[in-house]
Amino acid sequence: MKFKVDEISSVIAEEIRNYRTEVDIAEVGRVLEVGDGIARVYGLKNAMSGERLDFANGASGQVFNLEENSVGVVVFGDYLGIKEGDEVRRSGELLSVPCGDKMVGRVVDPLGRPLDGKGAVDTRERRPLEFKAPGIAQRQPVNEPLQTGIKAIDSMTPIGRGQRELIIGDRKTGKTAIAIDTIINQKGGDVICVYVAVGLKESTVASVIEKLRQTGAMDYTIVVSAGSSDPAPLQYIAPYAGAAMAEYFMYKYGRATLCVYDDLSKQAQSYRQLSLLLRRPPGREAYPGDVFYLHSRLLERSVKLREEFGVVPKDTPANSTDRKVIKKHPQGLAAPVEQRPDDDAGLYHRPHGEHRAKDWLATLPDKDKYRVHKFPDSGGSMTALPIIETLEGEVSAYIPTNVISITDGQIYLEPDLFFAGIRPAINVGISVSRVGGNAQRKAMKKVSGSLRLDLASFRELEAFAQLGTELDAATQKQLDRGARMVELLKQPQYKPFNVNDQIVSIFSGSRGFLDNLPINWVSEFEQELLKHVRDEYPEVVKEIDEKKDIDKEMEPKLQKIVAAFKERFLAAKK
Amino acid sequence: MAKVNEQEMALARVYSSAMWDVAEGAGQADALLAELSDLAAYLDKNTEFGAFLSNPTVEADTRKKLLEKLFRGRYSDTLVDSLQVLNGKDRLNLLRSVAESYRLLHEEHRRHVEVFVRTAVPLTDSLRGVIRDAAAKRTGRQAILVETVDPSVIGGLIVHIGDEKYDMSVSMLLRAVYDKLLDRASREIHGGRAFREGSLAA
Repeated sequence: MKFKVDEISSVIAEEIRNYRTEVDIAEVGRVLEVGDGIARVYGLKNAMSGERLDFANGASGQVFNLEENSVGVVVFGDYLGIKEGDEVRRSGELLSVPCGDKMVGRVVDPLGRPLDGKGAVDTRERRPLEFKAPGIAQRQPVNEPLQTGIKAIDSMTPIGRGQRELIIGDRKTGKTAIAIDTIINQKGGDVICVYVAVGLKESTVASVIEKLRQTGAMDYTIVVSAGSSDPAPLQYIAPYAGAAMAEYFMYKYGRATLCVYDDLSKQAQSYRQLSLLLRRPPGREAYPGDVFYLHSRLLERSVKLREEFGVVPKDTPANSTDRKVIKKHPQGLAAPVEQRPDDDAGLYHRPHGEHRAKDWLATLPDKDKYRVHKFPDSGGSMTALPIIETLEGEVSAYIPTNVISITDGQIYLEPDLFFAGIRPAINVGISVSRVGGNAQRKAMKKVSGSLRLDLASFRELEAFAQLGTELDAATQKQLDRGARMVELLKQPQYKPFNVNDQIVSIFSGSRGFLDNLPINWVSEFEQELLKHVRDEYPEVVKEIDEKKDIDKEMEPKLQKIVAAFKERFLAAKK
Repeated sequence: MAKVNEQEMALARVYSSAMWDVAEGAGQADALLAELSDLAAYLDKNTEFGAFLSNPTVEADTRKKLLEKLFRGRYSDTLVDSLQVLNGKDRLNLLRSVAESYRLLHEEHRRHVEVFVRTAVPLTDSLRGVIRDAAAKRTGRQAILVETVDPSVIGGLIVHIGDEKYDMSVSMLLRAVYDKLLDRASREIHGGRAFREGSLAA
């Protein structure tokens, strides 16, 4: 490739010729003081709260405080290059981040600037950082599972698409590991993942990215990183930026997305720093009064959007999002119940909408000219996995209680379990999923129905049995079962399980096939069983996958397979 | 566009509005503005004098005598009396803010607006008239021009009225062309269409 000087100069000449002489009109203020990522700017009487401002040195900022003669601004980027008296321009727009298909696979900072050395992200689409969460009408209940690939979670605290499930625990208990495993498990699926690292060590972020790359997870993942060395304003906006990038896929293509916020306690701390520097009054634990809103408005953006159907002319392209072409029911909302649309625009978006649209279409005289169309920008979801780090297991501190109350359940990790070798170190007793059960596969529900309670009573009995008292046969049996289930639910890192494998594996445990096996054989038994079923009975696996249920025919079939395998396994062991 | 402190300004407004009432009653409001600006300019230049005025270790009585000696006869009685009141209330440290707040008050009452003009070469009288008229039309107030000559503007002019900035300078145009070229080059390189030979002919 050769460069020619006269060509470059001709480009410049072209630009100059096309350059219309315009007056550059801007509203400007002047920096009064700057420090610690905060600036106070004199003037800017018309500035809006949350507006983006541009500093003379190229840094941008966001209006936080509107005072009588000045505005308090948080500075993103190089605040050391800003001097007293510098000009600050209003941009007239809210803070936004670049979004788009090209963002996938990239590592960016919270303003969307690339950090991975792969050059600029070639996209012109932007979305506002703060976006109002959809209202009741735009949502539908959580009804589709999001498989984490972790047996203990998918069986006992299942997560649905659009759910917000908190991962909470002390440091070094495997919180990030669960989130990363979940991202890795989406491989081959339809979920776009966003991993937001807030206040993590750069080395941790680097190793996470490397792991995602090795496992091929970067093909569908965006990493937004604001490390602990980044200024507090960047750490504060990082989760919102990640959510905005995910929302692009949800609102535009109706895609399922997963956002991991790792972790929100650090974000709350950076927000506390900003608030205190801006002289906002401190409250409990010195957090500002609006720290609840900080997290609630972020997590409310997680949603399962409703699916929208309409009767449209047959030649409407499949990717059409134009609601104007809908053929409306002549009776509108007064139509018979089984054909009734859900709003004045003729959309069908409540449960069984597709059926009602089809029913009406069938009654039309010219039904060959129409079809039922699912609008492709509807039905998307954003699942959130916020992470909170506790100190010494203290879940009643300010931020943990806040986030626990906002989310739809929590996965509680305990250091004691972790060091006892039970990994993932999930405390089954206090981990819950408030809505995920509706989304769980029937098959999984059937095999793991009483697992949670069994394990909880096992823990109780275990403590009791340590006293060395004589146990009756029933109690001993319960103890045996519990110990084997605990062993079965152990899972190495970065090894997510396919949902069908999980079902078979938990089936073998909950139906008692492991009870008379020595505990240290359980893991080997499980591995070989899964291999055996996959190799010898692919049609069974396929059936479980398609039916999503273990029905009356399936149950004895599976019992027989596992029993036969167990005999072989025991024989081989001798 | 002076340096101001929110809290100081709030206090200073009380004093300046009292001064305005007294001066306006005596028909000296404009003269007082000139004197205050003069004093403010002196304070900006001689920070030690400002430090002396706000130093709490100096007794109010000493300051009172010195103020009489320095200013009585040179400045109007209204100003000197005001200074003495400020001194009596231990608020002389606010003097700079009082001057600024008085200026804003004067601007408001007289419906004046300060227009800051930055040019590479000094303005001509006819141009001054044009700017004044344009500013008056825009704001509905009488424009007071504050001119600065700054060779880095290169050509054209930059006008500040209140928070608004009207940039019609050559330096801005050059900067804009520079940004546009940079943006275009970056897009073309990342978009896979670099400056290849003959690529521009098409």
